[in-house]
Amino acid sequence: MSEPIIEIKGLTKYYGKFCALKDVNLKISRGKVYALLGRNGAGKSSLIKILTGFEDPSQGSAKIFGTDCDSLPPEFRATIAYLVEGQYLYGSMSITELKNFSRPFYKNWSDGIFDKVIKYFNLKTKSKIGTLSRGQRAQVYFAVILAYSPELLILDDPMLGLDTAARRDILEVIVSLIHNQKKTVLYSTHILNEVERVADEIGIIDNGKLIVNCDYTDLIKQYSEIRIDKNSHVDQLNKKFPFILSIKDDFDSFKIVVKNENEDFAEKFKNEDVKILSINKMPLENIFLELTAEKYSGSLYDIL
Amino acid sequence: MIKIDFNSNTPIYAQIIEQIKRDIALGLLNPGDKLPSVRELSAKLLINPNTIIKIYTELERESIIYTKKGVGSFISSQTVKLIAPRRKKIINELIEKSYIEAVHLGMTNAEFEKISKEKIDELISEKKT
Repeated sequence: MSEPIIEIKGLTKYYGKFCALKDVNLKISRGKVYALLGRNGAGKSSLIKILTGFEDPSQGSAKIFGTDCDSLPPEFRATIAYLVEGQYLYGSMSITELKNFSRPFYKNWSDGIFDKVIKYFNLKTKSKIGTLSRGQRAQVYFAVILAYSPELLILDDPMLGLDTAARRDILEVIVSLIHNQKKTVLYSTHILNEVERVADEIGIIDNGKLIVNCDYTDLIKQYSEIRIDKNSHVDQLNKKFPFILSIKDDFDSFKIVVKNENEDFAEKFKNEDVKILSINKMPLENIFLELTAEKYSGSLYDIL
Repeated sequence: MIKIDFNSNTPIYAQIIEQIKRDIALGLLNPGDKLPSVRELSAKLLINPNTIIKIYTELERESIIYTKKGVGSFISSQTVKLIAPRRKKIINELIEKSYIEAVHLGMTNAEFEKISKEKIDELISEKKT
């Protein structure tokens, strides 16, 4: 369909003998928000470091605008915004000084937009950036981004350490960017209900492998949680039905997680000694945990 | 009208679909009513507009709404028929909730039936007058 802004093919990254990324393939088209999820240490940061040119791939390729990430010319770099854990803005500058400092770097810079966003967030232009709260610094950062209008935003945990109100401001910026300007966003975070709000596509990295790479609504449709009566016979169930991912004893009922779009489970289980209490779609957080959480045996309560 | 519950165990995409169906079942939305535009709903709920478009497409596929190009999306007239079983389900859930509550309060089945009947009679006579 539309041209890919980011295209990653067979990407593998070793640090010594440790394999941080294993044969990762993904495409992000113009105007899409791609949420990259994974536990700490899963490989997200390695992928982002390669995309931003801080690291080279061991095998395979990573391209932005059709050019290898490690050889992007400056005029391309000026159309990418990169936000990583906290904002690198000069603390000693005032907001006005930051505006004057930033302007010459960008071809499409707009003072008008910068001023409007600063005013919208009720920030004072004389304030030194170092004296602002984390949330306000994020607002200033996004004022800069909106003013130079990058094509691609790579946001690595942009909500880290922000309070609820500040996170809402950032969400507002992201949603308006998608709506009005068709920007492409690669968004990495651990706050999954925010991902559900903004993502078009979901990628989940686990142990260096991209185990999920699909449309958000398609992902939601694939998984269900079925509760069945405590007196049901569940012993052989997962052997008979390969679409069952897990069966858990959940106090007053059994919880079965299935990967199957066909919703007629009553029909599927009709020859089993199973009484279905409810069938529900799972929020992204539960799907994520199902796919990535370690399976410990027993409970921490028994140890402590 | 539509509200997202972050403590809910339902994905946001499914929550919005459920809520629109619920509003129709409860008569808050009626055949012919216009739904908010993708832009309005996206800005109000802070949800990716592409997701709102997918939600409307899904509702259209189920014939619950229809879209007139350039005008907007509307509740379809077949909806009432489609939504009748859902209406029953909502009411059943509410009855079940009050029954569970009654059991916890130590009420007997007979007492619960009596109280329910009295309340229903009261509500119906109020509606008549």
